[in-house]
Parts: sequence; structure tokens; C-alpha cells
Amino acid sequence: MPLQAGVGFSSHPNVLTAAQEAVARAKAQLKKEHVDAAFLFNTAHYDPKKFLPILAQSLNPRCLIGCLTSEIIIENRFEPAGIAVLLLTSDQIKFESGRVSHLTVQDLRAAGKTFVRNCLSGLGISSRKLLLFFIDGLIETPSAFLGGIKEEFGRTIPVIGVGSSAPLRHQKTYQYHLDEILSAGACGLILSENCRLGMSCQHGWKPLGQPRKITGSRDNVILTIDHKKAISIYEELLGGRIPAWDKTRLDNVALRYPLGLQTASGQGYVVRNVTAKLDDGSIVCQDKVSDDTTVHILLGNKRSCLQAAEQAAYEVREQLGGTPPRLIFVMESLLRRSLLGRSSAQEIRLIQNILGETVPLIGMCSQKEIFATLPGKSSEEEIHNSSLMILAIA
Amino acid sequence: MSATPLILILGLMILILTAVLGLSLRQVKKIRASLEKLKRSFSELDDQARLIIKTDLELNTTQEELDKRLSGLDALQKISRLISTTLDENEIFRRLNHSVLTELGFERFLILMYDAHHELRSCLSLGYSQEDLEGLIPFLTRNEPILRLLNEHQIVSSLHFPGLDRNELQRMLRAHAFVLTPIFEQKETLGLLLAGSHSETFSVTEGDEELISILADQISQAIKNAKLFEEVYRTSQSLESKVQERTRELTATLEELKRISSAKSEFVSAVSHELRTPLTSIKGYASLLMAGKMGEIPANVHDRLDKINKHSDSLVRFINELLDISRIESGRVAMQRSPQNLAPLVEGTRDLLTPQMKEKNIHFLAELPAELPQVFIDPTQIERVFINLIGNAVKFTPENGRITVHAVTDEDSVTVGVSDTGIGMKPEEIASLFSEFYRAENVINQNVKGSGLGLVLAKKIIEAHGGRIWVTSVPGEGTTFSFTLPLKKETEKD
Repeated sequence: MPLQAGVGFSSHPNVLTAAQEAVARAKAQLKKEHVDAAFLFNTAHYDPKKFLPILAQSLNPRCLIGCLTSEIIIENRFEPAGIAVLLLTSDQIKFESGRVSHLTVQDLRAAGKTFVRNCLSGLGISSRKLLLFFIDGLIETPSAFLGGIKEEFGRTIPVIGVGSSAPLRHQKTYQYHLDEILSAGACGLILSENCRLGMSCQHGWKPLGQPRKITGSRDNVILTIDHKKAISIYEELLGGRIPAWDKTRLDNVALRYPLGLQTASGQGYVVRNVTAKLDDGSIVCQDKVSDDTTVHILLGNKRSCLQAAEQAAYEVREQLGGTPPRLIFVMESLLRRSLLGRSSAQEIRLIQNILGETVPLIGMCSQKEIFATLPGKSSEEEIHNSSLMILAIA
Repeated sequence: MSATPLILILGLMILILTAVLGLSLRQVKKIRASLEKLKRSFSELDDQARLIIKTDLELNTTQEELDKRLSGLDALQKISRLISTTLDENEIFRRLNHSVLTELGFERFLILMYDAHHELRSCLSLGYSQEDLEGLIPFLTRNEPILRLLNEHQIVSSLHFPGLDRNELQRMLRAHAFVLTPIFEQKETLGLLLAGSHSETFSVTEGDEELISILADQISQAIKNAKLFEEVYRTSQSLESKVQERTRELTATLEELKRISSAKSEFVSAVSHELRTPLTSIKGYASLLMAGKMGEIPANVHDRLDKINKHSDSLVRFINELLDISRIESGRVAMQRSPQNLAPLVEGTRDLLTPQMKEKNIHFLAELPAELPQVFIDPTQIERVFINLIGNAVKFTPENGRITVHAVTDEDSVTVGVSDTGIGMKPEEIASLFSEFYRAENVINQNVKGSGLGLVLAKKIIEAHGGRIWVTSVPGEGTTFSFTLPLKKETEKD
């Protein structure tokens, strides 16, 4: 039996009713009693402590993972409030899940390794196809965590990660594994055996101005660019429109003009959102940056973002080699979603037009997009901001 | 690669090459020129970037505002269609669902309305968690400065927050961008509407304020319509209930009246029968005495007996009229109707009353058209009507006066009129003319005796024929009694 997927959503004001409705609708679409794996997304309006234990007990799946998100993507729309459930069953795909917690107080590389070992513990010798994981979006440099994962999991097997998100930045987020609620943690699911995957990560941003080089950095903070204080890149190009950034607020201008780090191949750019300006003129990014990386200010608009989504969907379709997908995951950056605004739904429809309008589709708004699907790239290049990831399983 | 280090490296390379390779001055100049060109190109790239950013910002601002306006207006139209088609106040809020409201660009909505005790109560909450609401609703319902501004019909938003702390508002309203607007009807504030967004990139514009304000107006209008409908419905229900109650009362009264009238008719009928038998004996004995069958009687006794005889006749007539009225009312007398000409009835009546008319030298005119069709009547009863009306006319017409009987044909009836040049009547007298025992107050009535039943009997007879009778009169000039008579049987009517 190939993969069967059922998606359910509810925004009933009562938390338990919403959870029950979402499960019932997912089961109705699944048309099977047996559940191998379950995914769960909820917005901040629904307290996981109230529904997760009951939901996990009633479903009793071998694997259950999920996280908090600022918005849920369901069918062809964005839902700012609700609970979404995805149920999977298949006798051709094996699922195994695991978790790790307390990421803020341990070495992230080591934590990444532990996380993979936990996920692999029940898998045996099955051939691994994909690791999909959710990590607390507030972890500032998940590249070290990803490095640990790759060391343990292997560098040739695709790894896709998503940073959980809350309506307000710096608001606590949660990750779920079975009936456990984690914060500052990660939970993941390994798919093995017989399945075909299509995946892509695109953003649609274009570089502006002359190339500049990062001449001083520390983790996710750029100290200097071209030996000048880092903020000079914005001062020189934006002039009087420099935003009054602070630690908790991301200004519209910074969102509209993130930084682009040129990849080692020189073929593209990894987006880094800028979240704050420090007193010494340094700027804080959403993930790790390195010295000697060529950097640009990026420009994006709705059209270029939609084109990128279209390109991502075509790439996924090509990878599936004509096999129709049975499930589509869409992970949309929270900030990209803000930029697209009312065009976000159009983006989802574009993806459905290309991959199939009747295929169950579920997704979430993410704080970070981790896309490690090709060997030979540095972990830093695999951590994205303001990007869109599509994963299709056939 | 970064521009400045590149230029420095290239400059250094030129110096080395010049020294090592012994390049000519011309060649060095050429390389320097290329370097300058490269520097300018980089500088131009930045200039272009500045221009692009400036244009992009302006374009995006304009486009976003335009997008917002278009989709906002579209959403408002949908909302208007949704809420204007219900007249149930609660249904209005039920129809304001999340998917349609979020098209306005906000994802959180709260509507508080004043209840009968002027307390704000939540009617709609979308996108807010229970925990949010537990802090938000008390904040709004107890915040005097905000309520004062809303009562002055001002909008409070993350763009306009007169005298308030925006950061506190953002925190308390659980929204980075928000518009808080009153819902009001004329001068009365009905409630408030809060639209919020947690998106840090959402900046409220005046266009957003306008959209949310229009939404508040739509809600207010829908509520007004619902209330009006409810008011009209309640009034109509109350009126209907009153009408039904009054109808029941009237029906009961009518039934009671019918019962009383029937009892009265039966009583009159019984009494009349009881009176007529002894009266016949009185009259019979008086006649015997007057005829001398009991022996000769003196002249003065004869005169008294004659009076007894005459009064007995009057009493018999009176009793007969009462009996007739009673019979007609109770339906015990069926009209023996057949097609009849009216002229013989009028002539018969004239013959009967000729002595009285001659006595007063009254000129009688029967102006019946030659082609007057036959009427469907009981001739005996209608003759009684003529006798009554013409008799009255004779009574109230002074000497040398005139009495005219005339008739016109309508579609399905004949209207007959009996006019005189008598003393006439006042309007207030006409109103009571067909009441039993009523006699108009005038000199003639004071001198001439009457029962006050003649016109009542005439009316009963005409109504028993399906016609009607009425009077027009001008005091001092004369009176006309008119009545209608059917041309055909009721069943023969088309």
C-alpha cells in the first residue's frame, strides 16, 4: 500500500473540540483506521498542554511530531488560528521519530548527533530517505545543530528542517514529540524504505549594488563589511531610510531588503534576515555568517517571490519523475509571508496547479528554513531565511 | 568580490608589474584608466541600487495601498452581502466569519456591543485566544480615555493614538497593527470594533482606518435594520393580537346582541299574541254594544264606545307592526317574491291615501319611467313600504304641498324615491330615524299619534329584499326617502 495521507483542520474556539474536529477530518480523508505517523500544527491560540496528551493518546501513532506556528497552511489558504493534523499510513514507507531538548544549554553539534541517534533508534537497517525535523525558531545558529545531524546521519541523505514560529518574534515556541511538549528543542521524523521525494527551496530575492565582503563576524553578528561598520551597507544604499531597529522589532525596511550571502559556487544567494542593529554598528542576522563571504543587499517583490515558488514547484515535479505526489508540505518563511501578504494564497494555488490540486497539502509559517539536500555544501549555506520549501512525497 | 580591496590589490599589482616587467608609462596609464572605470562602474551600481530602492519603496507603498484598497473593498462588498440579508442581530455576528474578515488584511477581530444595561459585552471574537480575551476585554471596557475617544466617534489606531501610549496599546490589544473604531448610529455609540494584526511588517494606513470604519458602519446599519425589523414585527404582532382580541370581544358582543334581540323578538311576539286575544274581545264587545244588540245605549255612552273601538284598532295596528318586525327579524316571515311592476303598487297606495291628500290639497305625482323594468319583490310587503312612506309624507307635508314618487334603474336594481315638500328634518334626527319607537320632535308629531315603528318595519322589509333605505332632508324644504329593490333573484345575478 502506497502512502495514504489525511489532512484535517479546525478553528473551533474550544481547544478540545478543535483538536477532535481536526483529527476527525484527517481520519475522514485518510479513510484508514491505522495511523503510522502524525503531524500536528497549532497556532498560539490553542494551548498544547490542553490537547496534545489527549490527542496523542487517542491517535496512538508510532510517530507524532509537530510544532507551534504563527499560521497554518491548509488546502489553499493561510489560517491564523486553528489546529491542523496530518495522518499518514503506508506499508511501503517506514517512519521513525525522535527528539532532543534543552538546546540552549548544550553544544548544538553534539545535540544534533544525539537527536539523530534518537530518531534512528528503532529503524534498524532500513534505507533512509529523509529526515524532516522541527526546531525551536529562536535557536540563533542552527547550522551547528545541522552539522551534528549530518555527521551522524550521513551527508548524502536529505535533511529538511523548519524553525517553529509564534505570532510575535522572540515569543516562546513549542515542539511536540508523541505526548511531550518541548521548548528550545527539536523533534524529527525519518522516512525510510520505498518512497519517492521531490524537494526544493527558493526565495526569489535579487542582489543590488556592488559586491561587498564580510570582513568581520561572530556567529550570527556581522561586525564589519569592507572593513567598515556593518550597518554601512544599509547607510550607503538606503540613506535616510535606515530603520530604527531594536532587539524585538523587525522593521519593514529590513524585511524588504535582507542580506544575501553569495554561495561558494557563486551561483546564488542564501538569504539572511537582519533582526537588529547593535550600538557599535554591527548587525545581527537570523543565522550564522562567515568572514570573506560576499554580501549584497537583496531586493524582492511579490512577482519575483511568486516566480520562485513556481520554479520550486517545477523542480519538485521534475524530481518526482512523473509520479503523482500523495502529499505536499509547504514551509513558508514567516517574513516572506508578510511580504507577500494577500498574494500568499496565490502562491499556494500556483504550487497546487503544478503539483496537483487534489493532493493533500499542509504547511506552516517558519522562522528558519533548513534545506540540506545536496552534498558538498556548508551547513551555513543550508540555513535559509525568507525562503519557501516544498516537500512532496510520492 | 568586494570593490575596495579589489581596487587596492589591482593598484598594488600595477606597481609590481611596472617595476618587475618594466611596463611603459602608456601601459600603466591604460591600466589605471581601466581601474578608474571599474571603480566608477561599482559606484554606478550603488547609485542604481539607491535609485531602485527608492523607486521600489515608493512603488511598493503605492501598490500595497492599492492592493489593500481593492481587496478591502471586495471584502467589504462580500461582508455587506452577508450581513444585509439577515434581520437577526445575532446572525449578523455569526456571518462575520474569519475567512471573509481576514480579507481586510487583519487576522484578529473583536466586537463589543453595549447591552441593555449599557455594559459592553463580546459579540464576536476571531483570532484571539481565550487567554488574550481575558486581558483584552477588561482593558477595553475599563479604559476611560479609549472609551471617551470612541464616544466622540474617533478612531484609535497604531497610526493615530491621540494622547495614548502606542506601545501599551500594542501590548494590551495583542496586535502590532490595530484599528479600534466605534460602532455608532447617529449620535449613539452602540459598541466598538477592533481589528488587529500581529505582523510586524503591517503598518496601518488611513486607508485601513477607512475600511474598518466602513465595516463598523455596515455592522451598525445591519443592526439598525434588524432592530427596526424587530420593532415592526413586535408592533405588528401586538396589533394583530389586539385586533384578534377586539374581534373576539366584538364577536362576543354581537352574539350577545343577537341573543338579546332574539329574546326581545320572542318576548314581543309572545306579548303581542297575549295582547291581541283580549283586545279582540274588547273590540267585539264594544261593537256589540254600539250596534244595540245588548239594548239601546245613550248617545254619550255610544261616543265612549266609539272611542274604545277606535283605540282598539290603533292598538291592533301597533301590535301587528310589532309582530311583523319581530317575524321579519327572526326570519319567520318569508318574502313571497316574484317579478312585479311597481306602478300598480304606487297607484294602489295613491288610491288608499287620496282622502287624506285631498283634505290637505296635496298634489301627488308618480314619475315612474314607462320602461321601468319589473322588480323581484313581495308586492304585499312593498305596498306596506309605500303606504308607510307616502303616508308619512302626507302627514308631514303642509297644505297645497307636493309628493312625488320617482324611480331610476341601475345595473341590477331600481332606486325608488318618495319626496315631499314637507317640514324636513335636522341631520341629528335623521340618524335616529330608523330606531324603534323613535319619533322626531316636531309640532306634527306632537298632534298626531304614531307608534314609531313604521319606518323600522319599512327598513326591515327593504333589507329582507336585499335592498337598502336612506333619507335625505333639508329642514323647511322637504324630505326624500329612497330605497333600492333588486331586479333579479340573488341566485340569478351574474
